[in-house]
Amino acid sequence: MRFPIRFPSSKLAGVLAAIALVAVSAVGLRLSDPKGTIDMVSGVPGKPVTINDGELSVDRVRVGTVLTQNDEVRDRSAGMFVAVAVTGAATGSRELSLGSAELVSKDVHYKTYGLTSVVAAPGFKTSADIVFEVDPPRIEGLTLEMWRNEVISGYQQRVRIPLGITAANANQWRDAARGWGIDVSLSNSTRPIP
Amino acid sequence: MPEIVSRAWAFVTDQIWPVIVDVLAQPLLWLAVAAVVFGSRVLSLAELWRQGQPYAARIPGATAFARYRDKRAFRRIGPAPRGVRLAASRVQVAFFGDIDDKYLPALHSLRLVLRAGPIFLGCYVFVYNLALIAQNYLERLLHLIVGGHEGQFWVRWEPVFSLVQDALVEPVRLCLLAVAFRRCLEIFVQRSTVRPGAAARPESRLPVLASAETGT
Repeated sequence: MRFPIRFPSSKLAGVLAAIALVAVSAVGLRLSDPKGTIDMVSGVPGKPVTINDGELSVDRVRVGTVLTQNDEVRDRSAGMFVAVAVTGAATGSRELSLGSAELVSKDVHYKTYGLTSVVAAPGFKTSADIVFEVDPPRIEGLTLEMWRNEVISGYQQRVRIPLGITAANANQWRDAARGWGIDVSLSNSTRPIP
Repeated sequence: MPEIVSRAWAFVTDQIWPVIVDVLAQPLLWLAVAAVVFGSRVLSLAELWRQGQPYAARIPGATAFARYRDKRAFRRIGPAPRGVRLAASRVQVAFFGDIDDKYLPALHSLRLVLRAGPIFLGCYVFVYNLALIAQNYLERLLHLIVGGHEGQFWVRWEPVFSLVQDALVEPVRLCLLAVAFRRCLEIFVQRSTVRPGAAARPESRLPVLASAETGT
């Protein structure tokens, strides 16, 4: 049986059609690629976000250029520090463990200043200050992202909470940070969930 | 200048190379593999049919119907000494064994596929990738239903989800490969028909080729 479709005999037209089909295929494959996709769980500051093993909330955001610990200057920044106080509660039957965090602003990803993780045993909640050093001109839309730190991971949940720094109020945040010190506790405080 | 070169290199490695490998080469190579699996004997048969006569007929004096003078000349040449034949067979196995067994069939298959024409290949690549795109969206749908979980969950359940996807998409892909291979053979036969000096009964070849596929 022969195919009933007859195509133009021009070789150039055939080659162009083939290239177009390959291009469409490439775009389709790129758009549909599930690799690297993440289950984003969004929230707002002050309200707990529910994830698989518990809840996470952003309690407070502080900015400054000096980092202090127990009233001693620990570090200074030519840019600015952003300290995000978060609380993780293990409301389920398993441990809540969020070992990775980033601050994202458009195409800029800021890593944490030092190692910080939120780990809470079932029935407990943990509060921690997660510190980032950021570039002051690029703080609009700063969003905290936290997720479980794993060697082998699949389709993973990631908490995403915007800190409320917008283009309209970014200057106020920058002014607030100038010359100001942030006193942070590098150890987590853990307590039972009431 | 180095900036331009590095950007061009990044564009090639990030954008062009994945397209060549994933979008273009993968479907074509799978079709070539299908041709190797189903069609290595088909090709050799086709070559014989195109010649229209057995191999011995091309050696003067080798057949029963050769002229007396050719037969005498053929006998006079005689076989080579035993040592030479042994050495020749060893050399052939050592240097050309892999070529005959692996590379030539693969090369013939790839040639069969690539000579099917740009429109056919474009359509085939497009449909093949449609199956992959469907598989990708199926995976996304499963992710949407199941939600994000830790790695331990995926280690346990990923094989099950892969089985679901493969059960739905793989038969389609295999059918596509079979149909595309069949079409390649048809195009091959059509081209042989229009070629001057081709064998007289081209239409009768396809059933023979098909029977060679099934090993009958």
